[in-house]
Amino acid sequence: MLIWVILFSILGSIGAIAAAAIVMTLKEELQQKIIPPLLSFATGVLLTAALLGLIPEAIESSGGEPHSIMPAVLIAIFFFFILEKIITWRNCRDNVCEVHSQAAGPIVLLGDALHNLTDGIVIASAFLTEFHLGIIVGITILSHEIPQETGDFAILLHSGYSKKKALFYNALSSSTTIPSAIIAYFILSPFEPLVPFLLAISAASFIYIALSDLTPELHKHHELKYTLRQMLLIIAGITLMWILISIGMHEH
Amino acid sequence: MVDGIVITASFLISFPLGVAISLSVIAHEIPQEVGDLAILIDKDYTKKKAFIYNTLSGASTIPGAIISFFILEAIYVLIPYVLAISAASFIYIALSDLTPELHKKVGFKYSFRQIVLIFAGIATMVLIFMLKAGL
Repeated sequence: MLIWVILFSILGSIGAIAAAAIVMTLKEELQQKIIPPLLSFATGVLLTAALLGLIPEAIESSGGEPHSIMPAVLIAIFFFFILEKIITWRNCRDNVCEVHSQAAGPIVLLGDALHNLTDGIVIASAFLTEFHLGIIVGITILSHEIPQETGDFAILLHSGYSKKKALFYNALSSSTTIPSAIIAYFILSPFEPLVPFLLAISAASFIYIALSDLTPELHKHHELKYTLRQMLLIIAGITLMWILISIGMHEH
Repeated sequence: MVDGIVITASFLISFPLGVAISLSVIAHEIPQEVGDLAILIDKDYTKKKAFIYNTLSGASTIPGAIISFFILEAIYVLIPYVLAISAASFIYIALSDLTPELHKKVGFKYSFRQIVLIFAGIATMVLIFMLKAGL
């Protein structure tokens, strides 16, 4: 199992950076064609993974007690709100964002390091619960990290980093996923009653990102063409995750 | 109208849940209606006209609640799904409509006040739910 934890940690951090770096080498217009669809797709993936995968799994593995799991989801959402207050610079994909300044670089990198640290814990706790949940969470993190890291690259370049420096620091801050996943895997193994709560917190982070970060971004486009495309891609994300989750359920 | 259905479904489950849901609907409707009024007045409606139209559209909650009371009482199995859809609408409004609005204000004073008030909202609801558990 550890090998899978490591594999998905690498994919979700360094893999996402590599994909983002490839996207960044493309022409501006082509980038604009790739990133928005990825955001829509990730919205569907995140919500489905949280609501149909993580929360039901957390409730089941805590002995069918929603009244202990759902408060964890609620408190975690509140916590993510406060965290976003502190790091308001995150997730701002607008290159001409007013908040962005020279200080944006270090803040983005610190935020990324923290975020990926939690990604590692999420991956480890999902694999500790069940193999199929680990795969679901791994894919979800990857789908959301690619547009995320592309946005981070844009901010770093905008705040004066050279391409090489941006790549190096972004890869460094992202790689926190790997040690945190490995450490979490060993620490959590003896504390299994904690795992459902970690799943609940992960679900909260997926819901928070999908609704409060990605959705307002999607609402910036109003034309019928964009709306249709967004809806199709969200449905694609939901369908993919739903299928993966139902496959896992048959193995129970 | 949807609000009315939600209120009915929650009262059919239990009285405290009904009270809690009604409070959440009211808490979110007040700023919402103020915003609607502002939009109507901005669109050159007179204050009086804006008030009347807004009240009319807002009043759709009442028939919504009454009609759904009879339908839901007859088709009891629907209630959990109505509650699930209401939960989805509450989460969607809170996260994708209200939260980005809250993040527009930067600065320690505003942030602190927002955090305290969100906490107050959570605490109020938790108290009502505890009341339910106690009954």
